[in-house]
Amino acid sequence: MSTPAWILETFAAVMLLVAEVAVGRLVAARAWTRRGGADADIAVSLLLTGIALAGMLVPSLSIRPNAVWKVVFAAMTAWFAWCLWRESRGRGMAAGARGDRAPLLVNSAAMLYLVAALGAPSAGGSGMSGMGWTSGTAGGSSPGVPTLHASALALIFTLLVVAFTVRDLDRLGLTAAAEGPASGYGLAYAVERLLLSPAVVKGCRVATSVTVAFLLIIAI
Amino acid sequence: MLLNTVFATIQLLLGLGIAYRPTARAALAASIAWSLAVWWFGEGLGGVLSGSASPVSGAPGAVILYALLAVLLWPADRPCVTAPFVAARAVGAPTARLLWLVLWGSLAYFALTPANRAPQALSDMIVSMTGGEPGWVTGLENQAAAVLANQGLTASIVLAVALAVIAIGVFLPPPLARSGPILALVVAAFIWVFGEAFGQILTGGATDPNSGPLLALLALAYWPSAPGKTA
Repeated sequence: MSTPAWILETFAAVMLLVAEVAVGRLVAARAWTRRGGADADIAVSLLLTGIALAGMLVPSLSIRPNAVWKVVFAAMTAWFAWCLWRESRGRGMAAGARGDRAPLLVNSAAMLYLVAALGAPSAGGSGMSGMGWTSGTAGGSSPGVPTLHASALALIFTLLVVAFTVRDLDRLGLTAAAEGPASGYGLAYAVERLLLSPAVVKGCRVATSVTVAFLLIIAI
Repeated sequence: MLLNTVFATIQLLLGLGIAYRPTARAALAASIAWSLAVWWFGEGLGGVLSGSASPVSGAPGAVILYALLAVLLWPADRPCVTAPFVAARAVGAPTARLLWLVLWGSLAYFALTPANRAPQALSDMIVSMTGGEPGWVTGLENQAAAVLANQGLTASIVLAVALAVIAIGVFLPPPLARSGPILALVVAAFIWVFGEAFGQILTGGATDPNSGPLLALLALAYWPSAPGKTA
Protein backbone atom coordinates (compact mmCIF):
# COMPACT_ATOMS: atom_id res chain seq x y z
CA MET A 1 0.00 0.00 0.00
CA SER A 2 1.34 3.46 -0.78
CA THR A 3 0.31 6.98 0.06
CA PRO A 4 0.37 9.62 -2.69
CA ALA A 5 3.03 12.27 -2.22
CA TRP A 6 0.54 15.11 -2.42
CA ILE A 7 -1.35 13.82 0.62
CA LEU A 8 1.84 13.77 2.67
CA GLU A 9 2.68 17.25 1.39
CA THR A 10 -0.77 18.55 2.29
CA PHE A 11 -0.44 17.25 5.85
CA ALA A 12 3.07 18.73 6.00
CA ALA A 13 1.75 22.12 4.88
CA VAL A 14 -0.90 22.04 7.61
CA MET A 15 1.77 21.16 10.16
CA LEU A 16 3.93 24.10 9.05
CA LEU A 17 0.88 26.33 9.46
CA VAL A 18 0.39 24.97 12.99
CA ALA A 19 4.05 25.73 13.74
CA GLU A 20 3.64 29.27 12.42
CA VAL A 21 0.51 29.83 14.50
CA ALA A 22 2.39 28.54 17.55
CA VAL A 23 5.21 31.03 16.90
CA GLY A 24 2.64 33.81 16.40
CA ARG A 25 0.98 32.81 19.66
CA LEU A 26 4.27 32.95 21.55
CA VAL A 27 5.09 36.37 20.09
CA ALA A 28 1.58 37.72 20.69
CA ALA A 29 1.52 36.43 24.27
CA ARG A 30 4.90 38.07 24.88
CA ALA A 31 3.78 41.40 23.41
CA TRP A 32 0.37 41.37 25.05
CA THR A 33 1.26 40.19 28.52
CA ARG A 34 4.98 41.16 28.59
CA ARG A 35 5.78 37.59 29.48
CA GLY A 36 5.69 34.22 27.76
CA GLY A 37 2.13 33.48 28.74
CA ALA A 38 0.87 30.78 31.07
CA ASP A 39 0.54 28.26 28.25
CA ALA A 40 3.91 28.81 26.61
CA ASP A 41 4.73 25.12 26.97
CA ILE A 42 1.67 24.26 24.89
CA ALA A 43 2.72 26.65 22.12
CA VAL A 44 6.29 25.33 22.19
CA SER A 45 5.07 21.74 21.99
CA LEU A 46 2.83 22.59 19.02
CA LEU A 47 5.75 24.35 17.33
CA LEU A 48 8.15 21.43 17.78
CA THR A 49 5.58 18.78 16.92
CA GLY A 50 4.54 20.69 13.79
CA ILE A 51 8.15 20.98 12.59
CA ALA A 52 8.91 17.33 13.39
CA LEU A 53 5.79 16.04 11.65
CA ALA A 54 6.44 18.17 8.57
CA GLY A 55 9.94 16.66 8.42
CA MET A 56 8.59 13.14 8.80
CA LEU A 57 6.06 13.64 6.03
CA VAL A 58 8.37 15.43 3.57
CA PRO A 59 12.07 14.55 3.97
CA SER A 60 13.27 17.84 2.49
CA LEU A 61 11.65 19.65 5.44
CA SER A 62 13.58 17.61 8.00
CA ILE A 63 15.93 19.92 9.87
CA ARG A 64 17.17 17.81 12.77
CA PRO A 65 18.59 14.29 13.02
CA ASN A 66 16.40 11.60 14.48
CA ALA A 67 18.37 11.39 17.74
CA VAL A 68 17.65 15.05 18.51
CA TRP A 69 13.92 14.53 18.06
CA LYS A 70 14.04 11.52 20.37
CA VAL A 71 15.52 13.71 23.09
CA VAL A 72 13.04 16.52 22.35
CA PHE A 73 9.98 14.29 22.57
CA ALA A 74 11.30 12.36 25.56
CA ALA A 75 11.70 15.71 27.35
CA MET A 76 8.24 16.88 26.24
CA THR A 77 6.67 13.61 27.40
CA ALA A 78 8.38 13.91 30.77
CA TRP A 79 7.32 17.57 31.09
CA PHE A 80 3.66 16.94 30.34
CA ALA A 81 3.64 13.83 32.55
CA TRP A 82 4.94 16.00 35.39
CA CYS A 83 2.34 18.71 34.63
CA LEU A 84 -0.41 16.10 34.61
CA TRP A 85 0.80 14.64 37.89
CA ARG A 86 0.88 18.15 39.40
CA GLU A 87 -2.65 18.91 38.18
CA SER A 88 -3.93 15.55 39.40
CA ARG A 89 -2.51 15.89 42.90
CA GLY A 90 -5.38 16.03 45.36
CA ARG A 91 -7.97 16.01 42.58
CA GLY A 92 -7.43 12.55 41.17
CA MET A 93 -6.27 11.29 37.77
CA ALA A 94 -9.70 11.79 36.20
CA ALA A 95 -9.52 15.53 36.86
CA GLY A 96 -6.02 15.66 35.39
CA ALA A 97 -7.12 13.74 32.31
CA ARG A 98 -9.82 16.35 31.71
CA GLY A 99 -7.19 19.10 31.56
CA ASP A 100 -5.30 20.47 28.57
CA ARG A 101 -2.03 18.63 29.28
CA ALA A 102 -3.35 15.07 28.95
CA PRO A 103 -3.77 15.15 25.14
CA LEU A 104 -0.38 16.82 24.81
CA LEU A 105 1.16 14.06 26.90
CA VAL A 106 -0.39 11.44 24.62
CA ASN A 107 0.73 13.29 21.49
CA SER A 108 4.29 13.69 22.82
CA ALA A 109 4.48 10.02 23.77
CA ALA A 110 3.08 9.03 20.36
CA MET A 111 5.69 11.21 18.64
CA LEU A 112 8.44 9.66 20.78
CA TYR A 113 7.18 6.23 19.78
CA LEU A 114 7.06 7.24 16.11
CA VAL A 115 10.60 8.60 15.98
CA ALA A 116 11.85 5.59 17.92
CA ALA A 117 9.86 2.93 16.07
CA LEU A 118 10.49 4.42 12.64
CA GLY A 119 14.07 5.29 13.44
CA ALA A 120 15.79 2.65 11.38
CA PRO A 121 15.10 1.90 7.70
CA SER A 122 14.27 -1.66 6.79
CA ALA A 123 16.96 -3.78 5.19
CA GLY A 124 17.95 -2.38 1.83
CA GLY A 125 15.42 0.36 2.21
CA SER A 126 15.82 4.00 1.35
CA GLY A 127 12.51 5.07 2.80
CA MET A 128 13.97 7.09 5.66
CA SER A 129 16.26 9.99 5.15
CA GLY A 130 17.32 11.04 8.61
CA MET A 131 13.87 11.20 10.10
CA GLY A 132 12.10 11.92 6.82
CA TRP A 133 9.70 9.71 4.99
CA THR A 134 10.02 9.28 1.26
CA SER A 135 6.86 10.57 -0.36
CA GLY A 136 4.84 8.06 -2.24
CA THR A 137 6.22 4.98 -0.51
CA ALA A 138 4.61 5.13 2.87
CA GLY A 139 3.05 1.99 4.27
CA GLY A 140 4.55 -0.67 6.45
CA SER A 141 4.04 -3.53 4.06
CA SER A 142 5.94 -2.10 1.11
CA PRO A 143 9.54 -3.09 0.53
CA GLY A 144 12.11 -0.43 1.29
CA VAL A 145 9.97 1.62 3.63
CA PRO A 146 10.36 2.11 7.36
CA THR A 147 9.50 -0.89 9.46
CA LEU A 148 7.33 -0.05 12.43
CA HIS A 149 8.35 -1.91 15.55
CA ALA A 150 5.76 -2.97 18.14
CA SER A 151 2.80 -2.19 15.88
CA ALA A 152 0.32 -3.05 18.65
CA LEU A 153 1.64 0.00 20.48
CA ALA A 154 0.84 2.06 17.39
CA LEU A 155 -2.76 0.85 17.56
CA ILE A 156 -3.00 1.79 21.24
CA PHE A 157 -1.54 5.23 20.58
CA THR A 158 -3.90 5.71 17.64
CA LEU A 159 -6.92 4.94 19.83
CA LEU A 160 -5.72 7.33 22.54
CA VAL A 161 -4.93 10.13 20.07
CA VAL A 162 -8.31 9.70 18.35
CA ALA A 163 -10.15 9.67 21.69
CA PHE A 164 -8.56 12.95 22.80
CA THR A 165 -9.13 14.44 19.35
CA VAL A 166 -12.84 13.70 19.59
CA ARG A 167 -12.92 15.30 23.03
CA ASP A 168 -11.00 18.36 21.79
CA LEU A 169 -13.33 18.75 18.81
CA ASP A 170 -16.35 18.50 21.07
CA ARG A 171 -14.94 21.21 23.34
CA LEU A 172 -13.88 23.27 20.33
CA GLY A 173 -17.53 23.59 19.37
CA LEU A 174 -18.36 24.95 22.82
CA THR A 175 -15.31 27.27 22.93
CA ALA A 176 -16.00 28.76 19.49
CA ALA A 177 -19.62 29.43 20.41
CA ALA A 178 -18.64 31.06 23.72
CA GLU A 179 -16.01 33.36 22.24
CA GLY A 180 -18.20 35.04 19.65
CA PRO A 181 -16.96 37.24 16.82
CA ALA A 182 -14.12 39.75 17.20
CA SER A 183 -15.10 43.41 17.15
CA GLY A 184 -13.43 46.86 17.23
CA TYR A 185 -9.85 47.89 18.10
CA GLY A 186 -8.42 47.35 14.59
CA LEU A 187 -6.68 44.56 12.72
CA ALA A 188 -3.69 44.13 15.05
CA TYR A 189 -5.99 43.56 18.01
CA ALA A 190 -8.12 41.14 16.02
CA VAL A 191 -5.06 39.11 14.96
CA GLU A 192 -3.70 39.07 18.49
CA ARG A 193 -7.06 38.08 19.88
CA LEU A 194 -7.30 35.33 17.28
CA LEU A 195 -3.82 33.97 18.02
CA LEU A 196 -4.45 33.95 21.77
CA SER A 197 -7.89 32.41 21.40
CA PRO A 198 -8.34 29.01 23.13
CA ALA A 199 -10.24 27.83 20.05
CA VAL A 200 -7.16 28.37 17.87
CA VAL A 201 -4.99 26.33 20.24
CA LYS A 202 -7.54 23.55 20.29
CA GLY A 203 -7.82 23.72 16.48
CA CYS A 204 -4.05 23.41 16.16
CA ARG A 205 -4.06 20.52 18.61
CA VAL A 206 -6.78 18.76 16.62
CA ALA A 207 -4.83 19.25 13.36
CA THR A 208 -1.67 17.90 15.01
CA SER A 209 -3.50 14.93 16.51
CA VAL A 210 -5.14 14.05 13.20
CA THR A 211 -1.72 14.10 11.53
CA VAL A 212 -0.16 11.96 14.26
CA ALA A 213 -3.03 9.46 13.96
CA PHE A 214 -2.67 9.49 10.16
CA LEU A 215 1.06 8.73 10.41
CA LEU A 216 0.48 5.97 12.96
CA ILE A 217 -2.18 4.34 10.80
CA ILE A 218 -0.20 4.40 7.55
CA ALA A 219 2.88 3.18 9.39
CA ILE A 220 1.18 0.09 10.85
CA MET B 1 -5.63 5.31 -5.72
CA LEU B 2 -7.49 8.58 -6.27
CA LEU B 3 -10.78 6.90 -5.37
CA ASN B 4 -9.32 5.51 -2.14
CA THR B 5 -8.05 8.97 -1.27
CA VAL B 6 -11.46 10.52 -1.92
CA PHE B 7 -13.14 7.83 0.22
CA ALA B 8 -10.66 8.30 3.05
CA THR B 9 -11.07 12.09 2.91
CA ILE B 10 -14.87 11.86 3.03
CA GLN B 11 -14.72 9.50 6.00
CA LEU B 12 -12.20 11.68 7.82
CA LEU B 13 -14.42 14.73 7.30
CA LEU B 14 -17.46 12.79 8.51
CA GLY B 15 -15.59 11.78 11.66
CA LEU B 16 -14.40 15.30 12.38
CA GLY B 17 -17.84 16.70 11.58
CA ILE B 18 -19.56 14.32 14.00
CA ALA B 19 -17.19 15.24 16.82
CA TYR B 20 -17.66 19.00 16.26
CA ARG B 21 -20.99 20.05 17.83
CA PRO B 22 -22.06 22.73 15.31
CA THR B 23 -21.79 20.22 12.45
CA ALA B 24 -22.74 17.04 14.30
CA ARG B 25 -26.26 16.69 12.90
CA ALA B 26 -25.27 17.37 9.29
CA ALA B 27 -22.32 14.98 9.54
CA LEU B 28 -24.46 12.27 11.16
CA ALA B 29 -27.06 12.61 8.39
CA ALA B 30 -24.33 12.41 5.76
CA SER B 31 -22.80 9.40 7.50
CA ILE B 32 -26.12 7.54 7.33
CA ALA B 33 -26.36 8.15 3.57
CA TRP B 34 -22.68 7.25 3.15
CA SER B 35 -23.03 4.05 5.21
CA LEU B 36 -26.05 2.85 3.30
CA ALA B 37 -24.32 3.48 -0.04
CA VAL B 38 -21.15 1.66 1.02
CA TRP B 39 -23.16 -1.20 2.56
CA TRP B 40 -25.06 -1.69 -0.66
CA PHE B 41 -22.47 -1.02 -3.34
CA GLY B 42 -19.23 -1.71 -1.49
CA GLU B 43 -20.12 -4.61 0.82
CA GLY B 44 -22.97 -6.31 -1.04
CA LEU B 45 -25.32 -5.76 1.90
CA GLY B 46 -22.78 -7.38 4.20
CA GLY B 47 -23.40 -10.78 2.59
CA VAL B 48 -26.66 -11.22 4.54
CA LEU B 49 -28.44 -12.52 1.45
CA SER B 50 -25.68 -14.94 0.46
CA GLY B 51 -26.26 -17.47 3.26
CA SER B 52 -22.63 -17.32 4.36
CA ALA B 53 -22.75 -14.24 6.56
CA SER B 54 -21.37 -14.89 10.02
CA PRO B 55 -21.53 -12.67 13.10
CA VAL B 56 -18.01 -13.81 13.95
CA SER B 57 -16.56 -12.40 10.74
CA GLY B 58 -18.52 -9.13 10.85
CA ALA B 59 -22.10 -9.71 9.63
CA PRO B 60 -24.29 -7.80 8.99
CA GLY B 61 -21.43 -5.51 7.98
CA ALA B 62 -19.68 -2.94 10.11
CA VAL B 63 -20.82 -0.10 7.90
CA ILE B 64 -24.54 -0.64 8.55
CA LEU B 65 -23.79 -0.52 12.27
CA TYR B 66 -22.41 3.00 11.75
CA ALA B 67 -25.78 4.01 10.29
CA LEU B 68 -27.66 2.36 13.15
CA LEU B 69 -25.48 4.13 15.71
CA ALA B 70 -25.95 7.45 13.92
CA VAL B 71 -29.73 7.06 14.28
CA LEU B 72 -29.64 5.89 17.91
CA LEU B 73 -27.11 8.51 19.03
CA TRP B 74 -28.69 11.41 17.14
CA PRO B 75 -28.38 14.51 19.38
CA ALA B 76 -31.76 15.00 21.03
CA ASP B 77 -32.37 18.43 22.53
CA ARG B 78 -35.27 17.28 24.63
CA PRO B 79 -34.23 17.67 28.26
CA CYS B 80 -37.71 16.90 29.52
CA VAL B 81 -37.78 13.53 27.80
CA THR B 82 -36.78 10.69 30.12
CA ALA B 83 -34.94 7.74 28.65
CA PRO B 84 -33.85 4.52 30.36
CA PHE B 85 -30.62 4.44 28.30
CA VAL B 86 -28.78 6.75 25.89
CA ALA B 87 -29.88 4.93 22.73
CA ALA B 88 -33.52 5.67 23.59
CA ARG B 89 -33.12 9.46 23.68
CA ALA B 90 -33.63 10.12 19.99
CA VAL B 91 -36.01 7.37 18.88
CA GLY B 92 -37.71 6.41 22.15
CA ALA B 93 -37.30 3.27 24.25
CA PRO B 94 -39.72 0.97 22.34
CA THR B 95 -38.10 1.66 18.94
CA ALA B 96 -34.58 1.40 20.38
CA ARG B 97 -35.42 -1.96 22.00
CA LEU B 98 -36.93 -3.21 18.76
CA LEU B 99 -33.79 -2.26 16.80
CA TRP B 100 -31.64 -4.06 19.39
CA LEU B 101 -33.83 -7.15 19.15
CA VAL B 102 -33.67 -7.18 15.35
CA LEU B 103 -29.90 -6.75 15.27
CA TRP B 104 -28.91 -9.33 17.89
CA GLY B 105 -31.73 -11.68 16.86
CA SER B 106 -30.50 -11.65 13.27
CA LEU B 107 -26.94 -12.32 14.48
CA ALA B 108 -28.26 -15.37 16.38
CA TYR B 109 -29.94 -16.56 13.19
CA PHE B 110 -26.74 -16.08 11.13
CA ALA B 111 -24.77 -18.09 13.70
CA LEU B 112 -26.98 -21.11 12.97
CA THR B 113 -26.96 -21.09 9.15
CA PRO B 114 -25.55 -24.28 7.55
CA ALA B 115 -22.40 -22.50 6.37
CA ASN B 116 -21.59 -21.49 9.94
CA ARG B 117 -22.44 -24.71 11.78
CA ALA B 118 -20.24 -26.95 9.59
CA PRO B 119 -17.63 -28.80 11.72
CA GLN B 120 -14.65 -26.73 10.60
CA ALA B 121 -16.48 -23.49 9.74
CA LEU B 122 -15.50 -21.39 12.76
CA SER B 123 -12.02 -22.86 13.07
CA ASP B 124 -11.21 -22.26 9.39
CA MET B 125 -12.64 -18.75 9.59
CA ILE B 126 -10.33 -17.89 12.47
CA VAL B 127 -7.27 -19.42 10.78
CA SER B 128 -8.02 -17.42 7.63
CA MET B 129 -7.54 -14.19 9.60
CA THR B 130 -3.89 -14.86 10.43
CA GLY B 131 -2.33 -13.71 7.14
CA GLY B 132 -0.02 -10.73 7.61
CA GLU B 133 -0.66 -10.49 11.36
CA PRO B 134 2.09 -10.05 13.96
CA GLY B 135 3.27 -13.24 15.66
CA TRP B 136 1.33 -12.74 18.88
CA VAL B 137 -1.97 -12.29 17.00
CA THR B 138 -1.27 -15.33 14.82
CA GLY B 139 -0.53 -17.37 17.96
CA LEU B 140 -3.75 -16.21 19.58
CA GLU B 141 -5.80 -17.06 16.49
CA ASN B 142 -4.17 -20.48 16.04
CA GLN B 143 -4.88 -21.37 19.67
CA ALA B 144 -8.53 -20.41 19.30
CA ALA B 145 -8.80 -22.32 16.01
CA ALA B 146 -7.31 -25.42 17.63
CA VAL B 147 -9.84 -25.29 20.48
CA LEU B 148 -12.73 -24.92 18.03
CA ALA B 149 -11.53 -27.51 15.49
CA ASN B 150 -14.40 -29.84 14.50
CA GLN B 151 -16.66 -28.11 17.05
CA GLY B 152 -18.58 -26.04 14.50
CA LEU B 153 -22.08 -27.16 15.53
CA THR B 154 -21.45 -26.82 19.27
CA ALA B 155 -19.80 -23.44 18.86
CA SER B 156 -22.66 -22.22 16.66
CA ILE B 157 -25.28 -23.28 19.17
CA VAL B 158 -23.43 -21.69 22.11
CA LEU B 159 -22.93 -18.48 20.14
CA ALA B 160 -26.55 -18.39 18.97
CA VAL B 161 -27.84 -18.90 22.52
CA ALA B 162 -25.59 -16.10 23.80
CA LEU B 163 -26.75 -13.78 21.01
CA ALA B 164 -30.41 -14.64 21.65
CA VAL B 165 -29.99 -13.93 25.38
CA ILE B 166 -28.45 -10.57 24.47
CA ALA B 167 -31.36 -9.86 22.11
CA ILE B 168 -33.99 -10.32 24.81
CA GLY B 169 -31.77 -8.90 27.56
CA VAL B 170 -32.84 -5.37 26.77
CA PHE B 171 -36.42 -6.23 27.79
CA LEU B 172 -35.43 -7.53 31.23
CA PRO B 173 -36.57 -5.65 34.36
CA PRO B 174 -34.12 -3.19 36.03
CA PRO B 175 -32.33 -5.63 38.35
CA LEU B 176 -31.29 -7.73 35.31
CA ALA B 177 -31.19 -4.97 32.72
CA ARG B 178 -27.40 -4.77 32.67
CA SER B 179 -26.93 -8.46 31.89
CA GLY B 180 -27.72 -7.95 28.18
CA PRO B 181 -25.20 -5.15 27.58
CA ILE B 182 -22.56 -6.93 29.71
CA LEU B 183 -22.91 -10.14 27.73
CA ALA B 184 -22.93 -8.08 24.52
CA LEU B 185 -19.59 -6.50 25.52
CA VAL B 186 -18.11 -9.94 26.17
CA VAL B 187 -19.35 -11.33 22.84
CA ALA B 188 -18.19 -8.21 20.98
CA ALA B 189 -14.71 -8.62 22.49
CA PHE B 190 -14.64 -12.31 21.50
CA ILE B 191 -15.72 -11.48 17.95
CA TRP B 192 -13.20 -8.65 17.56
CA VAL B 193 -10.22 -10.52 18.98
CA PHE B 194 -10.73 -14.03 17.61
CA GLY B 195 -13.15 -13.70 14.69
CA GLU B 196 -11.90 -10.44 13.24
CA ALA B 197 -8.28 -10.39 14.49
CA PHE B 198 -8.68 -6.80 15.72
CA GLY B 199 -10.23 -5.84 12.36
CA GLN B 200 -6.91 -6.86 10.76
CA ILE B 201 -5.69 -3.36 11.52
CA LEU B 202 -2.21 -4.66 12.32
CA THR B 203 -1.82 -6.12 8.82
CA GLY B 204 -1.68 -2.61 7.35
CA GLY B 205 -4.41 -3.43 4.83
CA ALA B 206 -7.62 -2.91 6.79
CA THR B 207 -10.21 -0.38 5.64
CA ASP B 208 -12.13 -0.31 8.94
CA PRO B 209 -11.88 -1.85 12.43
CA ASN B 210 -14.80 -4.22 11.60
CA SER B 211 -17.90 -4.84 13.72
CA GLY B 212 -16.48 -5.73 17.16
CA PRO B 213 -15.89 -2.18 18.49
CA LEU B 214 -19.22 -1.03 17.04
CA LEU B 215 -21.13 -3.81 18.79
CA ALA B 216 -19.39 -2.81 22.02
CA LEU B 217 -20.30 0.85 21.49
CA LEU B 218 -23.87 -0.20 20.82
CA ALA B 219 -23.92 -2.17 24.09
CA LEU B 220 -22.69 0.91 25.95
CA ALA B 221 -25.45 3.00 24.33
CA TYR B 222 -27.97 0.58 25.85
CA TRP B 223 -26.36 0.64 29.30
CA PRO B 224 -29.21 1.31 31.78
CA SER B 225 -29.18 4.69 33.47
CA ALA B 226 -28.52 4.76 37.19
CA PRO B 227 -31.65 4.65 39.35
CA GLY B 228 -33.12 8.12 39.75
CA LYS B 229 -31.30 9.39 36.66
CA THR B 230 -32.26 9.41 33.02
CA ALA B 231 -30.03 9.28 29.96
